[in-house]
Amino acid sequence: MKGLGELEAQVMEILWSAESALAVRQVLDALPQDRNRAYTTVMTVLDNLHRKDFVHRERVGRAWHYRPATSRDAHVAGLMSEALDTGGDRTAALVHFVEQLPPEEAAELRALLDRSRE
Amino acid sequence: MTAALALLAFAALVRISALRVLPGAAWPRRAPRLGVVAWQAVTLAVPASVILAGLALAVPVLPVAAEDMSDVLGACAVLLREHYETPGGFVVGFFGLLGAVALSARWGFSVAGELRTVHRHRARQRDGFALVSRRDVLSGTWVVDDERPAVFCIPGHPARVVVTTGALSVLTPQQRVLALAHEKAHLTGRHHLALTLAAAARRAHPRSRLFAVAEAETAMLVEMHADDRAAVASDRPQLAAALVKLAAGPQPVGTMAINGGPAIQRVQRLLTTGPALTQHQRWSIRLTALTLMLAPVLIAAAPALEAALLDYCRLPIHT
Repeated sequence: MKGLGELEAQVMEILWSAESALAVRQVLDALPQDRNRAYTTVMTVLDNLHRKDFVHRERVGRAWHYRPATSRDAHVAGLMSEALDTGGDRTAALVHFVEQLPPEEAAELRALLDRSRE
Repeated sequence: MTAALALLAFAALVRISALRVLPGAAWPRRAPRLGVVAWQAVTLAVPASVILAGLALAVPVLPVAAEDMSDVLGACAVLLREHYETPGGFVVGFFGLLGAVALSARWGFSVAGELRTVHRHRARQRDGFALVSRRDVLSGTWVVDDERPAVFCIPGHPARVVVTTGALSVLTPQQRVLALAHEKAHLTGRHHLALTLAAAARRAHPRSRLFAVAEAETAMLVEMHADDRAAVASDRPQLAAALVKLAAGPQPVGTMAINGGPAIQRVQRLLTTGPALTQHQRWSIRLTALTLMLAPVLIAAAPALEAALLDYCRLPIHT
């Protein structure tokens, strides 16, 4: 299964840049043709993405068509605000290098650093 | 009864002295990992004492418990019951047992709930960032395009260190290395386990001051420990500078004002190196933590041990 992660990212990029929902065949055709990829591999990847709620799908005729759940920007913004939101109900899910501070406290920190350099 | 009262007194004593001594003490900041161990010992010793107090009350009214323990200890069940004798008898024993079971269940659910929340949150972050970040093989990090400076790790399997392009652009190469070393120290130090225990304790008792303080102190001490692991003495001012740069980034939307205490303490600590603890001091802290963990069990078992060691059982003689 290793390597599917990279393919997931590639498939997502294709879906994000597409104008409308894509069928598995269309995704397969849009992928770089450097490797001989099986239709079923792409189907598995799309299925994984669907299971993780990153894409929605609808049935068109006999085939599933896939589109991203959110735009790429909204996806990154959502992850980042979740990652940076350490206030309130903090969980031990992520461990930060340092939490972001309000401007006046950041200024205090800077002053502290400057004093030590003198 | 005496054992139960002694356990409750012990729990109260540990709680009061932890709150009074630990937050203001200088040594946890000089030896942060020992500080984390101390808070963990307190966090476990208090509920363990209360649960065992409930069980000690219940021993005389639980025929099975008395029989089992007497088998193990070589005393007889009648004596064991006598040694745990409770005025009020059945009612007190029943409520003791009820309390012990309820508190154990509460902790069990809190730990399980916390683990589930954390696991789901991490999986979402790991999968989500995998779609939009590129892997920097050299530094072993995942770089995501975002102007907000942030460096953080997602513990678990597989663990990830995520860096934003915003963070890379404000840090010097040396500072990048130090910030990443700090995150890797979190992962190798398994700091998320200490944080999860602290969070679970707070979930079990959301209004407890002890567990709120324990969680905040643990969060700060693991950062200090990671700082120590990341930077040798000569690098510490640079790590402090990296910290200040990242803490002063633009405010992310939806983030509340965060108490700046920990960051300021870390910077101060990185800029002024205090004397390390002596081996003697380190060992006394370790022994105290160990005592905190063992004492509840010893107090709870004291009457049983007494029954086994000092008394003998007059068995009715059957002919």
